Amino acid sequence: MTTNEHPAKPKFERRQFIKASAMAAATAVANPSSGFALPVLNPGEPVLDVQWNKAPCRFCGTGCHVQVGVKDGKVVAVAGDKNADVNKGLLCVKGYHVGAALYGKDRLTKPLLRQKGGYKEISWDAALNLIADRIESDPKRFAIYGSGQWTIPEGYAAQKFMKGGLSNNHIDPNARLCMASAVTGFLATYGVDEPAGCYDDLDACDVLIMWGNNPAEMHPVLFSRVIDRRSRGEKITLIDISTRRTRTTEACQHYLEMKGHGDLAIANGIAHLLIKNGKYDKKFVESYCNFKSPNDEKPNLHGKPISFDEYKKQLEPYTPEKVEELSGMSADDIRMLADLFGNPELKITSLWCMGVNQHTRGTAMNTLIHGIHLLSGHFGRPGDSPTSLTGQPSACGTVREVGTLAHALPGGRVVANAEHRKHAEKFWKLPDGRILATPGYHTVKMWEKFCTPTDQGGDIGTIWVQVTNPGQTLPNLNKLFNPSEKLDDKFLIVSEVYPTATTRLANLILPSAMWVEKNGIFGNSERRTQQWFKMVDPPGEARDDCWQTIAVAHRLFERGFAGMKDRDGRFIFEVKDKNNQLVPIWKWENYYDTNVDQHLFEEYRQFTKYKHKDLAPYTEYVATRGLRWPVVERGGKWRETHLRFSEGFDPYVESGKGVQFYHSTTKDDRAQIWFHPWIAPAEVPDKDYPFMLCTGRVLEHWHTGSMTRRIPQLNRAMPTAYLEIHADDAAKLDIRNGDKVKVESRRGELTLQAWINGRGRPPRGTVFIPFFDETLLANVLTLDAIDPFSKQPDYKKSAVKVSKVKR
Amino acid sequence: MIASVVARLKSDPAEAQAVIDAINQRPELEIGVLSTEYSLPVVIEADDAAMLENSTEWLKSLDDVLMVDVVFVHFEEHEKNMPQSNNL
Repeated sequence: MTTNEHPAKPKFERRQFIKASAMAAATAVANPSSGFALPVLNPGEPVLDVQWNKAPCRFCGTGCHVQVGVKDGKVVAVAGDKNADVNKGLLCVKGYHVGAALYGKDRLTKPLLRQKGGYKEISWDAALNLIADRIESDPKRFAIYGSGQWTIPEGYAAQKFMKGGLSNNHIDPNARLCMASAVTGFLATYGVDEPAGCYDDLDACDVLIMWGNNPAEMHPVLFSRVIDRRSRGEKITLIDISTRRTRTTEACQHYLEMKGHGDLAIANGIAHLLIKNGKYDKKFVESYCNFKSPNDEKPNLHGKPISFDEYKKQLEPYTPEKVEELSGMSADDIRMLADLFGNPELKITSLWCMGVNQHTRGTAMNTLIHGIHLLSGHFGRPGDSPTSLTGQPSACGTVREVGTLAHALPGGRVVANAEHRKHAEKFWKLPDGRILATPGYHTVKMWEKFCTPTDQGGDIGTIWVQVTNPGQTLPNLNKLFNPSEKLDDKFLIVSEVYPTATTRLANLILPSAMWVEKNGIFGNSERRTQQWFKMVDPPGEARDDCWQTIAVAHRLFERGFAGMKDRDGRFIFEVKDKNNQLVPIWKWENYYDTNVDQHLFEEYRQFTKYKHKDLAPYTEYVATRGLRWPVVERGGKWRETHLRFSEGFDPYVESGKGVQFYHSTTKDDRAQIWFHPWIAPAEVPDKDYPFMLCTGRVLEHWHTGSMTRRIPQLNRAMPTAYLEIHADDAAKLDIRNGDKVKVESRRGELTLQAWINGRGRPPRGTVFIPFFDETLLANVLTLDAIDPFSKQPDYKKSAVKVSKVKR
Repeated sequence: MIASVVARLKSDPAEAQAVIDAINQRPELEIGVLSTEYSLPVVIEADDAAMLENSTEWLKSLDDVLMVDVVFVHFEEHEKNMPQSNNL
C-alpha cells in the first residue's frame, strides 16, 4: 500500500520505525501462531512510503517467496513472506543482497556492438536488424543458449521462436549442466520427469539422506525446516554422504565420506543387503515395480527388462567389503544404511543435487537412488521420498516443463515423436511439418560446433545467450568457449545484466531487465509454479528478454520470413486485447500495454495436461504463493498435488490402485528398478596428474558471482578463487597457506592461492576450487566428458597436478 | 542497513540464556522475546551488507545456536561502491 510522504520526519524516527518493523517481522516468525503482517503493509502508516508486492526470490531453486518493498521506483526492502508454504517467512543470507543486486554501477544499459578497439553503443533498432540479418543469412546455423533463470514465458517464447518459427531445434539451456541427469533418471524410472514428493517430506521424514548435497549452504531455507524440527525436540537422523565436508556435515549425525563415483557402489551395496537380508518390501516390489538393466548394445532410457533373480545376481558382487574397496565408505556404514532402508517403520527422504547430477554416470546414479526407495518401499507416503533439488529458480518450470532442451517440446513432449510435433503445431497454429524431428545440439555439442571452424564442420555460426554465463560455466573452456574469439565468421550475442566472462567475447551485447524489473513466472524444485509482477523500471534501455525474442521474431516477420507466420499468415506471437485489437507488443513502448506473460502462459497451459502436469489459469497464480502441479479444478476450486502417484493424494491415480505409475515406460503402471554397475570416473588420478579436482560453490557467491561479486564487502570477504588442499598433501609439496600454486590439467592451467584444509577439509589426494571467480576460471581445468544419456558434464572429477610457484 | 533474523536455539533454558547474554554484548544486535519453541528474534543494525552477514555468521557460530534465518532486510542506503567487471 502506498502511504503519504512525511518529509519532515527526522531520520532517527524513521530508522526507529524500520527497526520496529524488523523486530515485529522476526517476532511474528518466531511465534508462528501469532497473526503476522508486515507493519509497513498497514494502510495509513505515516512513516514509510513503501509499496509491497510478492515475488519468488531471484536466486536458487528453493523458490522462497519474498515481499519486495519499493519506494520512489527503487527496491528498498525485502522480507520473507509468511504466507508462503516454502519458506514460511524465512529467507537465507542471500536475502541481504537480492535487492541490492539490481543496482550495481556497471549495469548494462545500451546495446553494444563490438568494433576494433572496443564497443560502440547502437540503437535497439540496429541491434534487432543485426540479429535478423544473422538469422536470415543462415537460419540452420543459428542457436539459442538459455537458462534455468529464464522465466517460464521467456523460455516458452524462445522455444516457440526456435522450434515453431525457425524450424530449428538448436536451443538448449545451462540447466543441461546442472540437472539433466535428474531428468533422465526420473524418465527412466517413472516415465515422466520431476519428483513425486515435495518439501513437505522434509517435515515428515525420520531420516534425511543427502547424497553429495549441501543444502545448509545451497538451499538453506529447506535445511532450516529440518533443523527447526530438531529445535522443537523432534528426532530426525541426518546423514551426509559426500566427498568433502561442508556446513551440512556439521549438523549431521553421520558423515559418510566416499571417493568420487563411490555412490554407484554404495547404492548397489544397499540394494544387495536389502535382498540378502530379506528386508526389501516384497509386496511393494511385486505390485508396482519391474527390473531393468542397461542395454549396452543400444544404450537408451528403456534398457532391457530383467527378472528379480537376474537383478539379485547382478548385485551379488556388491558386498559391504567390496563396496568399501570401491567407494572408500566403511562396510559398517554401508550396513547401517541398509538397515535404515530395511526398517519399514522409518520414513526416509533422499535429497541430491549437483554431486549426483554432475557425474558421467549421473543418469545411472539417479535411477539407483530411486531404485533403493522403491525396493525398500520407502515411496509414496509423506516423508518417504527420493527428491532431487535444483540450483536455479526455474530449472524445473522453464527447462523441464516448457522443455527448452534441444530434444524437447513443451509439456513433456519430444521432437522425435510425430504425435508430439502435431500437438505443438496445433497449439501454435502452424502448418503441418513445421517442427523438425531431429533433436538439435545439446549444450556441449552446441558450443563445440560454435568453437570449431566452419570449414571443419563447425556448423553453428551464431549463438544468442540469454540469462546465463557460459564463458564461466562451460567445462573445458579452452575447447568449448575461448576458441570462438579467433573465428571471424562466428557471432556471439549476449543478453545480460552486467558484464561477465561471456560478454568478454560477445559481438553484440543486449542490456536486459532483471527479476522485479519485469513480469515473471518461475517453477521451483517441488513442482510449484510462482508468479510476480513488474515492480520497478529497468535502467537505461535495458529490456525484457522475452520482448527481445518477440522483437527479433517480428523483425523477421516484417521481412517476410515464412517461419514467423502461422498457418493463417499471422505473426506467431500475435496478441489481441479485450476489444480484439492487435497489440504491437514487438514495440517496447507497447510491450506492457497488455500482460504478455499471461498471454504466453495461457497458450502454454494447453500443453501441460498431456503428461498430467496440469497448470491452473494465470490468475490463480496471481492470487497465491504458487501451486504444485498437477493443479486440477474440483468443486470450483483449483487444487494442487503434494504427492504424485499415490492414491488419496494424486487425482490421476485410479481408485483402488494404491500406487500407480501412470506414465510407466512399460505401460503397466509400474516403475522400473534399475541395476547399473559401478564404473570408474572418466578421468582418474595417475602419476602425471595425481589429484582429483572437485569444483563447486561458496557461501558468499551465487554461481558465477555476476551478482554477488558486485557487493563490495562480500567481494572482500571472498575476493578470489583458491585451491583447497589437505595438509599432508600440502606438506609434501612444500605448500603453505597463501602460497601461489599452479594447478594443471590436461586441458589448461590456473595459478591461484592455496588454502590448506580450507572449509571442506578435502581428503588426501583431492583438491577443491570454487567456480565463482571470473578472474580465475576453474573451468579451464575441468573435463568435458558427459553422461551418455543426459549429456551432462562431470565437474566433480578431473585429474590435476599441483605445484608451488617459485618466487 | 537494518535486518531481522530468527535464531533457533537448543531447547535448554540455561543454554538459551547464555546465547542471550552473548548477544547482549554486541551493540549492533537487539533481541526480542524468546518464543516457547526457543526461537529468538534479533534485529541487526549495520553499516553494510557484509556487516549484516558477519553478525549473522557470528550468531551461527555460537555453540547453542542451531540455525539463523533472515526475515527482513531494509537496504535503502545500499552500497555506493560496487565493484565492476573488466569484461567489457
